[in-house]
Amino acid sequence: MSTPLLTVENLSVSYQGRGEEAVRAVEGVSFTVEPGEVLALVGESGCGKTSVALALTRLLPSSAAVSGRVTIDGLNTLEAAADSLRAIRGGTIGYVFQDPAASLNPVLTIGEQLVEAITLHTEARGASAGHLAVEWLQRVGIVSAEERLHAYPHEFSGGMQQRVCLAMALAAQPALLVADEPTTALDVTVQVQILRLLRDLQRSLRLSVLLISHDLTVVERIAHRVGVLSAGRLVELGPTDQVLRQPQHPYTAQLLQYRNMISLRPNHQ
Amino acid sequence: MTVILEAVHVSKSFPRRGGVLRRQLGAVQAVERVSLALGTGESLGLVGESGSGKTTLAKLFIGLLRPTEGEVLVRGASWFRLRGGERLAARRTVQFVFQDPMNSLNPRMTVEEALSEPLSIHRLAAGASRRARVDALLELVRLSTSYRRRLPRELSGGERQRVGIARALAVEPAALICDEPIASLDVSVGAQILELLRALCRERRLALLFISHDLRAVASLCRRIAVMREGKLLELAPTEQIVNRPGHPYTTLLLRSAELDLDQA
Repeated sequence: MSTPLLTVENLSVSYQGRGEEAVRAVEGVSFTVEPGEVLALVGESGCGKTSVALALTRLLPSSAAVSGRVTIDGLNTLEAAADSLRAIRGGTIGYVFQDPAASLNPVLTIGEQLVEAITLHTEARGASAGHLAVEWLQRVGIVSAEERLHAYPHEFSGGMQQRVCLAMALAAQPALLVADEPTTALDVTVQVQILRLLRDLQRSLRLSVLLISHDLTVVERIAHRVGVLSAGRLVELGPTDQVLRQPQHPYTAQLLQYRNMISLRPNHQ
Repeated sequence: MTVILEAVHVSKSFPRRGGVLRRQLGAVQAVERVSLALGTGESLGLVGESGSGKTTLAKLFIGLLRPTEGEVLVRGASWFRLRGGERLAARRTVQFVFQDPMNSLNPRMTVEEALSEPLSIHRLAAGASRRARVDALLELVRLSTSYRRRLPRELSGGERQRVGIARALAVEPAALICDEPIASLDVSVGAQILELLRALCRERRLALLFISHDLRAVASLCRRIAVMREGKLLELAPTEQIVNRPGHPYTTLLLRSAELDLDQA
């Protein structure tokens, strides 16, 4: 077994409300992501899955108290200085979020945003950065990529915007891609396209991915291993097949049962 | 089975405006010649993606929008020919449940006030009998009567949706139109809301129109499914048939997408 790409040890996050008692959103969570692996964190609203994703690069608001250790490329991001943190955010660790419209800058063209990500995080400059931008747009399945560089985000559909977000995240050549509910806001037919794209890119580029999702079926399709979060704690972690076929924790079993109730061929209790 | 609601060749278009003078450039055909009937005790699912016209059709069904062509009939009478008391009675016949009750419930009204309001508008109960009705409604949606004094923000998403359903049921409607009622809920909570709707449909002989982008939710609740795309009704058939022998290629695509079949869809 190779050494893990990302190691998260005993991660805790709590939020301080106004004068009230702090809310513990994440409690003592530990996991690793191996090179070329897709690890999914699954759970319902409020389970702490997004807090984990954001804590990796200290993207949480100042009201959040984070403790534990997050190691990537031999660096503990929770103690990293501001300038190395800037290189890690979007560089070592790339993000794709749920709402692509909110992730893109509405007043910059797609090309400007892609080139910005490329020049910030790679050696490429000028024309070669422009070439890379076109290449990445093609790789995420945008046709007539060269012309589309001059388009603004509002000229793209939600699915195409999410393709651009994926291109922007990957163009920076991150060691780890964090995808937080990347298909949740999309129409079902588009969801399938984006998920297939993510799976195909992951396979061809051997990407390491931390996938955050509430949807066990999404997890089932692309994750190698899955961790189940409940009320801030990791209650189960194992190979996807094993966790979904023989859940060890009652909470996992319950999630699976609810999923089977809402299906094309539901089995009611 | 008595028909409660019926759309007869209903179309709805919206003007498309542009330029500095906001001149009309054309029209968007949101719903195109749709015919659909909903009867007592029946659960009909309406499935489609964004822009398919499903919410516009819902608004036509409850008389919030006037069709550009065709008619929507409530117990055989056209919405826009009804006046005064008849119209109020029709509003009582057809009730609506929204996606996010946080937006549809008044944030300053307690649960009790929210449930009492429709009772007083339709003059159904007052005083002690109104209190008893509120308790009965809470029990119907499986909420304890201790919820009476709570405000919407003091409720979870699932509890708010139960209050939304209780408010719709307060006037004892014959038909319930639910537009994406579980889309913003966790799976576990959504499954419980579906179970509640299933029970209501069975026990109270409610006519249920369940609108969703999620074919899985529709298939697990409804007896019949209508598939819409770009304003048109593509297919209408029993759930078993839609799931196992879809008649339209778009339905097949939706089925494979619903199962997240990455290699086929």
